Amino acid sequence: MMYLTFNAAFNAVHKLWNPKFDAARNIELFAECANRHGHLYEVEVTVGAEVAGRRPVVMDRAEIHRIIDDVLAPKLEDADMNTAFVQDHFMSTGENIVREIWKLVQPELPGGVALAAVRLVSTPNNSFVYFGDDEALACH
Amino acid sequence: MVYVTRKLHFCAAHRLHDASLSREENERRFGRCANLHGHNYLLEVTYAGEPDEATGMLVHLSNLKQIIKQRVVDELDHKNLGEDVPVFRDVAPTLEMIAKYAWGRLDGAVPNATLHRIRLHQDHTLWADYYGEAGSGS
Repeated sequence: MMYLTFNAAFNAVHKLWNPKFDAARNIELFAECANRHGHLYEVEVTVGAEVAGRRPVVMDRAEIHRIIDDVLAPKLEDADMNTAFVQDHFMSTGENIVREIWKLVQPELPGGVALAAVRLVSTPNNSFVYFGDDEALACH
Repeated sequence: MVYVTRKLHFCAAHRLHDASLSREENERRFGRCANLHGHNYLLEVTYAGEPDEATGMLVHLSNLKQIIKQRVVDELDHKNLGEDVPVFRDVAPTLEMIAKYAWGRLDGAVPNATLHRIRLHQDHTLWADYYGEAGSGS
């Protein structure tokens, strides 16, 4: 299996806030993250396929640009992460966002291309990786 | 088991082009990449194994650099891949196929160490990982 990773960055706003709790409890849980703030989120998508002479790429570059421009950007560019995926009670943590991105990208991939990993970098110090439910792919 | 990674750079020209397809179909599949252009490639080579007891090393890093340079970098650096490198006259010099080529050139090249991964970056937005025929990287 050959793996190909492409990435793109999106500015978005979010806050960590659980509406089931009062303000004091939210601030206790999430501290400064309970205030609205933004990140330049970097999204890395790793896809895999067998390559050989007749199929020299994992995925056509035009398809990569389509995923970035037509699938990811409309959802994520200048988005509010608290409402971009689910309207109600979405906890916009990196852990949850990375799984939502998996769900966005996976059905858009061409036939024969497997989604291997999605990585979300929220700051240079913080990143999140999701390999789907197949832990055997947890290799990168 | 310990993993040692050495990075080297090379610069080369290529285009993504399938001679059996029309110009329009090549441009649809490969976009601007169907035109001749170049990259500063970054090659990361990772070997795995147990360090030698006497030296504490899996592989002497300057030897490793020479092996990668002679077997891969010198073959590709400042070349027009599709014309100057025989293997890429028949195989499209995509990022993926260059990574696979590097695997073939480096697998088994270091005594007492196993080639674990070839990671080849075309730029900071796109890279390929190859763990060999059988490898899924686990």
